[in-house]
Amino acid sequence: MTNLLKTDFKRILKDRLFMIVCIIGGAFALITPLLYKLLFGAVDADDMLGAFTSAKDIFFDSFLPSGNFGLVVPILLLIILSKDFSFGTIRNKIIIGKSRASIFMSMFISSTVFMCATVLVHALLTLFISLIFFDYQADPFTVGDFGYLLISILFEMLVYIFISALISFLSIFMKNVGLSIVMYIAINFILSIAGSIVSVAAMFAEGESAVLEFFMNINIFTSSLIGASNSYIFKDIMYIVLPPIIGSALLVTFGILAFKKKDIK
Amino acid sequence: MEYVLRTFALSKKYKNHYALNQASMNIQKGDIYGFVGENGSGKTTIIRLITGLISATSGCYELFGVSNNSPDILKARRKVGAIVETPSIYQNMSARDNLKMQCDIIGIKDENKIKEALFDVGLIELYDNPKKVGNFSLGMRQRLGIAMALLGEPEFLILDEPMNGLDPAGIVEVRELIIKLNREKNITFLISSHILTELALVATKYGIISKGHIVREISAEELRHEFRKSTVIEVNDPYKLSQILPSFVSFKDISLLPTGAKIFGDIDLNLIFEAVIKAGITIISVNCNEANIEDFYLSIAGGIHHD
Repeated sequence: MTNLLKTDFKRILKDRLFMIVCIIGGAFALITPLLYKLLFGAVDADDMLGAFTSAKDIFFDSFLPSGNFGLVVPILLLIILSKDFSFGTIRNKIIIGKSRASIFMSMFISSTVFMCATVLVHALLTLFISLIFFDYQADPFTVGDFGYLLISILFEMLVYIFISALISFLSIFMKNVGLSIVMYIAINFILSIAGSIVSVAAMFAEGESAVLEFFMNINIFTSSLIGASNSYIFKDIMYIVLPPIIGSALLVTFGILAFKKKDIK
Repeated sequence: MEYVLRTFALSKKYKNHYALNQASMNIQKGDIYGFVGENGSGKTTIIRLITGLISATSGCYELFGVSNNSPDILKARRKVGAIVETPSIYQNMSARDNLKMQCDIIGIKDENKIKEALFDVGLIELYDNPKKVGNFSLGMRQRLGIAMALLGEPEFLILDEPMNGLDPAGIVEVRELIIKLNREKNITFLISSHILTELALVATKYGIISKGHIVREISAEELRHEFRKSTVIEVNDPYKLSQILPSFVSFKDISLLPTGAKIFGDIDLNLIFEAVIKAGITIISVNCNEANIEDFYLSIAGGIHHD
């Protein structure tokens, strides 16, 4: 497993696409706060829009799996991971006697590390650049806010662990880079749209929206609970933590099972 | 007898079609097993099965005496190196980086192994060459694939169509490499190839596969005996001919025919003709047959096709 991890880390690092991921991440981190500044900076601070724009908002928006970098990273990593199938190099690992479970786990762990690292660096870079133009939040930054920020980052990473499990599953299950990308975009869009529909429906349902709220909060792609306030209640933590953990566990289990039965050409 | 590979009624079914049907083959330690069959006969399917790339519909196999159903099969596979169809290499990396990746997978830390493997396949000049494998010729990729397969110091090397894309010099190099590795390192080989005459230069045993069935397994020695060069002489007096021939050829190499005789092996026809003419026998016809692996294959697989 260690040998496989070493190989997977190396092949991701050596891939030109990884360099592109880093360039895109840097570009988005620079452009996004600038765009916010252009759009909202001119608005009077007393104006509703101006008052709501903070570095904290931009920071948490940069984690969204359906927007900008959050969409680009999994797709590019999916392409890198799928190269093991398109080049046929996955065969070298099987022929030499590596178990399929360890091959899948190595793929999952390496994609998780790279995805979380790139998304985190991008988000932190976005935060630092945002702080040039905006305050972190309307209220003064406290030690409690720092703790909340760290916990929130951890929760965001759980979302990307789930996404990593999803792309590892897709690359193994589809064995075709094009189909895997289409499937990932489709899942991302469908869940994002479904999340939007549910949240609009919840607004109109008023008072009787417990079921809708449940579906809204368990949707990993649109959950708005992370970074929404300055503290978390137990119920929110369950909504934030359980779906990605259970989802990742299921995807990894099914991924290993599917890979064990899959014929490799 | 130590077997490296034994398959027992191995079958692989895709929807309604059997790619491999009850195939049983036996490869002993030290063999260079030439695997012969037409396109789609099941050669690559059996190779994929024994390398663990696909699973069997029924039947089983043993690799170094370990059943494919045993958890120890993964350990047994560590003694195997293989190229299945095309070499599995990262096109966006150099030859050295590809070999390094393979070293990492296996757990080899010694950089000299990379040099040795490149040297063995005649690609040592690529050690410091940053050229991406995607720009290599097919022949170079084949050789790099063999180098990668050699890295784990396998006891059993499976090469699926290793001569594909190689130039004549490359074919000779690969052939010599196979013989050298077999003799010096006692590596057992399973080689599938369409170039039967080329296979005949290295194989010590043959397996003929047709339409998913292993039709015949035969050692090179048996094949030489069964399919030797022969000369058929038809004469007006076969009895007289049968009395003359033992003076020139041993009894075991003579097969009498109603119209003359069939003589196996290399013979000096001039001497026989002289004696035949002296004895007053009239020669009606003389036919020489240079039998080889191709004739053998066609006699088996060809017959099956016409069924």
